[in-house]
Amino acid sequence: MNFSPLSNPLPPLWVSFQISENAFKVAKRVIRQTNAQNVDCQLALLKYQRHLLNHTTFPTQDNIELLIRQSEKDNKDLFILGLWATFERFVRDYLQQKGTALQKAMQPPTLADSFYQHLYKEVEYWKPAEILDFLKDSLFTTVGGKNLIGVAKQILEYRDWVAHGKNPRKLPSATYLKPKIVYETLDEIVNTLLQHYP
Amino acid sequence: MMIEERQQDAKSKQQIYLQRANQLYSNIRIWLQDEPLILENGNMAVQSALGHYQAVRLSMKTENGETLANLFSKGTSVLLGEGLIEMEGAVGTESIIYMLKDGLIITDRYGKDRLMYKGINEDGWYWIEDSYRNKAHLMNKILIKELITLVSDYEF
Repeated sequence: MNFSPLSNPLPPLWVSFQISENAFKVAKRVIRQTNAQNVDCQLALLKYQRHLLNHTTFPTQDNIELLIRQSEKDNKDLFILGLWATFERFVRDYLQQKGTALQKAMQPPTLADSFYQHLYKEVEYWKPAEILDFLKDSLFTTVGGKNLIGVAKQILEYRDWVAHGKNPRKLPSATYLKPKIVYETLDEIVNTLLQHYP
Repeated sequence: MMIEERQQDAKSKQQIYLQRANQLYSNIRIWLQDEPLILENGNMAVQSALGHYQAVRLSMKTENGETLANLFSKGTSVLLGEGLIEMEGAVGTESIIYMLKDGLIITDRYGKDRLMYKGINEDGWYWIEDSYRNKAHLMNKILIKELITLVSDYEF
């Protein structure tokens, strides 16, 4: 089986998230009422504001500030979901590639090939929490390593909570996650895995 | 842990959180006392796993009555922190997190142990910067003004 070399997929997501945050900020500035003392300036400002809002649905929405604020919150949750999904994909790819060492070492080759095909498929179904557990018992055995995996587990809990509709009767251990902390935690784990790659 | 014990534990956590939040709000009043701003306390409900409780909300307005920012008490359910206060203005929202001095140690990719966030030399309310890696800033007179500008475009 041919694999592409792995690299850290998370930094571009962080850039996208920051860009979206900035875009929200610009949008909120655009919809604010502009006030100038001079009447001509005021007219020019309003005209420019209309131009900026051209072909958007902003002017027709009631409570637009509130709606943008809500979109920002939704965007944060979607970012955390996307970041986790990308992290999980990376870890599965990583384990599938690491597994080829078993295939190479196993005799006879026909068993090795079938065994590896099965392993390759099964890795897709491994539970994320169990993957984190065996990473904790292998590459993250120091106190600091265990802490990192502990934070990742809290992120996973939050991810599951969001992905299953934020059940108010089944809250995760933390209901507020700062996206930067989520990014830095998962980024550190990915970089640690890459220290042991290929 | 029994349900009663959990409720007791949550109650004392809430009390500590409310004291810390009120302390920050008092400090903010002192830090901004020479500025032409109007600060008003209000009430708000914090939603938690074990029920709702009342906390303080702080509004910051200009002398013309224009709201610059609201500080909302968001409770204790925050990743890596003991409490959360959100600062919401017309153009942005920033989070202020209560962090402990003996915070989380992690082993980084080079096998070196370090604090997850630099700059946490005492227990207190911190703002974590998005642009730099691993940097937390203790709330103070200068920072509160920077955050107000960040969320509202108001210039001091």
